[in-house]
Amino acid sequence: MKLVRSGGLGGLEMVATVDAADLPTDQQDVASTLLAQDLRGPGTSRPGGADQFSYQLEIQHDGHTVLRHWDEPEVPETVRPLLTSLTRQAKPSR
Amino acid sequence: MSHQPLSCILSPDLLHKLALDTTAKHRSTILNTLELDQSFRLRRAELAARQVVRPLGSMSAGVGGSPNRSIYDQRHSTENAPGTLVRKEGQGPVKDVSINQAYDGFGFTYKLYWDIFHRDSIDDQGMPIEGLVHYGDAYDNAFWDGAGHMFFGDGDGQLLTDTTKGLDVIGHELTHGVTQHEANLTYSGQSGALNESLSDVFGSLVKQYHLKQTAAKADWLIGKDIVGPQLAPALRSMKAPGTANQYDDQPADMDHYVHTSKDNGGVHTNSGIPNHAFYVTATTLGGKAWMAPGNIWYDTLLDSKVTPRTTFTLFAAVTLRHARSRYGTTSKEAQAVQAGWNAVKVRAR
Repeated sequence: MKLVRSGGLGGLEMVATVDAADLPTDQQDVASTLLAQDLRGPGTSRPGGADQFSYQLEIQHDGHTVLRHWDEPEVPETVRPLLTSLTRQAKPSR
Repeated sequence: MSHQPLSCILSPDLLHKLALDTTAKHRSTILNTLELDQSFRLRRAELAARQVVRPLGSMSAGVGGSPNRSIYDQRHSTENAPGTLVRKEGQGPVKDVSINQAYDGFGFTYKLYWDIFHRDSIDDQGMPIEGLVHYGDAYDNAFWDGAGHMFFGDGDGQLLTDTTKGLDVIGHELTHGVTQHEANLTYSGQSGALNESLSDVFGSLVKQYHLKQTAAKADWLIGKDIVGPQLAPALRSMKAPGTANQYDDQPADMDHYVHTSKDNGGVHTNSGIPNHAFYVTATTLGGKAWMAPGNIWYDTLLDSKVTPRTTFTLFAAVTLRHARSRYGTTSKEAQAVQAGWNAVKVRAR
């Protein structure tokens, strides 16, 4: 799977590509859920906000690819640990 | 006075159809109505977008000249509602340095806006200033949420460190609120880059005003005090866009404008162009950048011609108009503004 985090105060794009098998079991479960359904957090992105992160998660499985996208503060709490874990492995892309 | 009774009663589509099926005289009237109607609709949409939600409990009307600050500790959660109130206006310092830095930084930011531009807080009506610190776990960011709150992460120590350490960063985030209340620049493309640039300009002025630095003395770096080793020495340079760190790809003029879909059309990238125009204006004039250059940029931010989709060219023209009207057509201030936009190859006339 591939995570692209963009935006933020620095505007620096960060990219991580990992094998889901290397993730903790609970995060693999979240990735499996995301294959089947989109998840949304309680927050709503407001016009007028600035410097917030956007996340795009690309998950490949059995020959098909699923794309999920969240803008802060829409990130659901169930997905947050997965994004945090992937972000820690991310590198600047420019 | 000529009334346009059709305005906003009939839909634009119906007016278009009527215009096709009528005489030339009536067609002209209908087209005038359409034009008025469209401008009214746009104005109404802009006004609606400018209605920023004030934080709860914020309706107390204070006397201008003193901020109303509240700092909340999010305790490393990513909860978007304010957490524990840990310092409010008038209370003394606490043990946690991040809380004090946010409180003090808001105070210095309020002071620039009040002392120089006679603006009473984010909305010019004494709006409470609310900062949420220790947001997230090693969170590499600070942001404005569009609903009256500024969030500050502690950083991971590599890209960013404690984001409350940057007075220019605090000024940057609060200025996003000011911009939302005024021009309400759409956060995409050139208007988004202007939105970002205004935050860098006034964030830098907050720092310069606090340190009593002249334009020549200032370093014109953004985020110098919050970057970790990977982004050292700073996030951005208004003096030399594209040189602030190893990943900095900001252009310094329109010949190098970056067309991209990333980061809302490169809002943190192309902001280098208007940033550098301000730097050249300020250093051409010399002295205190918060005086003439700051006032010209502030007048422009408040000008009704600067609407949500404003381009660099329009913004430049309005800065030049304000420089001429405030200081004179052939004044050194107007010439410095012209020099600023010339340097970045944006036509201002």
